[in-house]
Amino acid sequence: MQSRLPDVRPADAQRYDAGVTWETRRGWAIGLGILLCSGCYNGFSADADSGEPSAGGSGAETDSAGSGGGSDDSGGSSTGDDPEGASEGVGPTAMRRLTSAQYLTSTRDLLDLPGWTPTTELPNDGFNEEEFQLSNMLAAGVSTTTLDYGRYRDLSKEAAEAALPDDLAMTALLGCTPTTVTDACAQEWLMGLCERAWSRPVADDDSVFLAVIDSAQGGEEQLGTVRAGLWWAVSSVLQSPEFLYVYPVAQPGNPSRMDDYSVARQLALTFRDSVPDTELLDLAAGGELSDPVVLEAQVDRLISDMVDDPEHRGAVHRFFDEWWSMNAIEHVGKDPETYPEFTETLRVAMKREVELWIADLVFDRRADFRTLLSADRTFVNGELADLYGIEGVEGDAFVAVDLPADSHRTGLLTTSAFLSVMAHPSLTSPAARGKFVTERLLCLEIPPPPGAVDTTIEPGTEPETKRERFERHTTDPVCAGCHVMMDPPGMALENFDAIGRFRDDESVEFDGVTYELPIDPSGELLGETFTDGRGMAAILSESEHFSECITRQLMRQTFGREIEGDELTTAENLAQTFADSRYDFLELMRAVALHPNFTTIAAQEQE
Amino acid sequence: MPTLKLHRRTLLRGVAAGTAFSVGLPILETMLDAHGEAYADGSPIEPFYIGYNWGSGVGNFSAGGGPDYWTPTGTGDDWSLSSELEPLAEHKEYLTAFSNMQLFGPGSHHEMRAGMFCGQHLHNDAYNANGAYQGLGADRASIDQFIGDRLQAMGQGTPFHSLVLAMSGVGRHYNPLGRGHSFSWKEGFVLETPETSPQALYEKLFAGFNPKPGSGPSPESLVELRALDAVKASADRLRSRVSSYDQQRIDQHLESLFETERVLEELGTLTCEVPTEPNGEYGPDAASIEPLVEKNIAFSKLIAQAVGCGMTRSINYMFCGMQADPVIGDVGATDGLHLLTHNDLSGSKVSQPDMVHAVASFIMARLADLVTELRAVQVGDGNLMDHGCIMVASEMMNGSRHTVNDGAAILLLGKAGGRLRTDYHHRPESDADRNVSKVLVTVMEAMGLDQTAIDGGLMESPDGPIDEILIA
Repeated sequence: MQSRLPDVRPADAQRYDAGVTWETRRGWAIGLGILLCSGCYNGFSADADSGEPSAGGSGAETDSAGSGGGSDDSGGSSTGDDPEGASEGVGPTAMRRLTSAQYLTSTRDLLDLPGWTPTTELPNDGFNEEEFQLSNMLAAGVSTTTLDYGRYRDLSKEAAEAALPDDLAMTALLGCTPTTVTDACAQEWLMGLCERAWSRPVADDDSVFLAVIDSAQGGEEQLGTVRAGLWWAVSSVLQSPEFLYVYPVAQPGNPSRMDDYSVARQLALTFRDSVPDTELLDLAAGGELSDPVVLEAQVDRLISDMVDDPEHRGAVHRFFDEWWSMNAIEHVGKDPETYPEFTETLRVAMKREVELWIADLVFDRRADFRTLLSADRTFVNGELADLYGIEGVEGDAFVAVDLPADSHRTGLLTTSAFLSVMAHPSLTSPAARGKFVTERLLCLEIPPPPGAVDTTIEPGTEPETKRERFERHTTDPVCAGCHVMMDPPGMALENFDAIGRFRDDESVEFDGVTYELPIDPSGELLGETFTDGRGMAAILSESEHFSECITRQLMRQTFGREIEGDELTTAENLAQTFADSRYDFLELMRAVALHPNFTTIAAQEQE
Repeated sequence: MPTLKLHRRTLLRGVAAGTAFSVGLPILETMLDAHGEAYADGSPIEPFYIGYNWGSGVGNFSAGGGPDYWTPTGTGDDWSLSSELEPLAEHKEYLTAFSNMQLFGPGSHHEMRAGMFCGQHLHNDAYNANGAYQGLGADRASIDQFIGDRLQAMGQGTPFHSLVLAMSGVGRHYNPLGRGHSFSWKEGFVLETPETSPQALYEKLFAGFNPKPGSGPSPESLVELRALDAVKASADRLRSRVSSYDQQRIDQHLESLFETERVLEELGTLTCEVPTEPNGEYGPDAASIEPLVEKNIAFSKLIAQAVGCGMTRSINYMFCGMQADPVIGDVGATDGLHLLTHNDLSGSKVSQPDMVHAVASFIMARLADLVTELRAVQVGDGNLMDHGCIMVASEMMNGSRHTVNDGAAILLLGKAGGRLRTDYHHRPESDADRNVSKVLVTVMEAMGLDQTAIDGGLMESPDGPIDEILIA
């Protein structure tokens, strides 16, 4: 597969999480890692002045109109249509390992252990903050290290012990009391466990099932109790690759369509990060999930479960956390001298604000998802209200507050969580913030700078704001190509310091004196000018590229792969469905799940 | 005295069967020849390898006109320790120093690390055949993994293929699979993530020991072996329907399963002394400062036990990752080595070279403690270090300059059963001899791997080991 990265990458080039030196103190190598060559656009035409750029494929690929029957549908449920056409243009189906969240939820559901929290550390998803990646995508390439294998082994034993600590628990779990591991009570339960864990039918003579029975017999023989036998059977199932890794099985005679059990698993992972529930399994066993009406009803059921019960929303919240790096708030470092108010409780409150606000937007009100960037409402407690300068809120409890039309706070890009994560311990990072906007909200790829570029900025001859320093630096034509796109949104947010507090001026030290210099947040984005962060966010939220990017990010999450080639057309069509639904995020999830590509198996490249 | 030609573990199984005694570490005197340097049948005692590494270099600022605390003075047998190597003074007889060695290729942390630890640079296979982000790629495994693989292939495998450990557990990215957090990788640049807890290492090594010596695997181990058969059956089923690339991933998963099987089968029969479980608090405090002195000693004792008992012959012991995040409060450092070398410290009381030197000296002192623990384990008339081959290296010389042009910071410790020349400072002059890959080849030869060259790439080293260092 063609590499997308240049051959030489300075080690510091690709990071933009807080605490890592895109910039360092005293003007050293400002912008190290943000110098980019001209012609770096991926997804937009290179001439940024030519009006509304046209989104296209990566690099120089031209957009094809969709070459197959399924790939340019805007969300029908025609799983029975033209199987060859449906798989054209669909990215390769990869074997994905369960993410740590999926492993945990699946194990809890398999063994009816809703509150189970293991002491063994969960294997790492391979999530690499140096590059923006979703763990569902990394799942297609992650390898199980020796350490993580040991963790799966230990986790399986912890779970077995939690599920089967004594005979009473065994009877409760099985719904009957087995007298031996080979009696009907034990066999039926084990068969059901395997069917659910592996999402496939399990017959009496299935060789893998028989091996699980053998391990149960071993436990009973060597350790003397039925429970010990079942204990070891559970341990083996939880370590089995058919549980830990997901790869769909094709319908008989139809290699590009998933069978019902595989569809059941795909649905359960997408909406619940878990194994299929009884209803999905029964439908799969009866061959009914290939009926588009039944499939649609199941998707609707899974969505209403999320709406009705916050316990079912975990998968969606985790997607947002990864997309926006919200988890980084838990460990981002801030200079205690500059920001003594950045307490552990404030950190928690920052994350909570985003959780509550998103739950309200996506599930409770099912409002226009584009207000992610132009919200008129948020949730704060006393500590957060102080930071935001919102009056009348005290104490630890969170309350909803309406934001006035002229408020500085206007959605994700002005939350303290985002602003803190995309900043350094004491300084802001317009580069990180700008790269976030261009990469994660507009789906433009910004490659790292060429290795031979000198990134040092000469110190100025007078006090300068960060913007003024950057401007001296990025007039170089080698750099300007990408910086003209990336810098403005970052600079638009310079009114917010490294923990997200609003400021009119930037404190700058020069020759031993501290100056308060007024910040200029104005700029241009997508061919339109803005005067401040609020204006920038408004342009972004109205942009078609933003709503297409939301669609593309959800597709990457759901399919666990990059969206390229003909699937970009699919993304455009699904984005239209999104628009038609008044940008209801759950409607977009529905459309993606009902698209033929959701149940398509496309061959991988063989090495 | 009987002729002893079997592998030590086999011997111990045979001797212990039916009797209840335990063998003190590491090797029975009766097994050794009169000199204590070989088994009684003349076969050499197998050497072991430890890679000791850390990120962001040492205190050598000479290329930029600053002080050089790292490079020793004198050459050959007539040499003296530098101030940065002074913590190793009591182990000088085991030390082989190098200077004027050269890495080749690009100057990023990642490229230099690859060059240093596998003799080949990385290529940017950023996305794998599944379209998933894979990061950088390396065609060759790191030296510690390569050693484990070769020993297995040569029929000299140990229960544990290798151990991958890290003294410091803190890291900026909080991502154990981040590229900076391991110096150990399999072919294809699949990182092996290190164990950072001495207690967890203790569990891994000694939990499987059978309290009744000579009885074979415990009942629990026997059951677990049957459970692993079910896991293998599931792997086979899945493997039959995925791509060749995904089959490789399953196979890698199974490698760890095979190691677990070996451990369950063999540890149940070993009768080495089980050491006291480490019981200290080794995690970082609220300011992310770790008790590295104590933690290192806990790890070092376990390493010595593991090696002495033949549980493994290849260990990678990382002091810290390439981003060198741990803040060494013990020497008054205010930041990790990475930032200390990259930031402008002109406003601080201690100069940058002095601060880097202080941290690097601390790193050397921890190495000295490891060697002390290894020397505490007797082998005949000598000790484990007579059979050790510790490669000590950072991926770059000077973290501030980030370039291969400043040379390579590398040492060897241990006599590898008499194959390595020690108490020696090797300083080559010709370009071919300066290639740091020659040290890797020398290590492989000393380990008896029958590997005389590193082929291909910028670090190619086709003409064998360093003759001045490797004793035939």
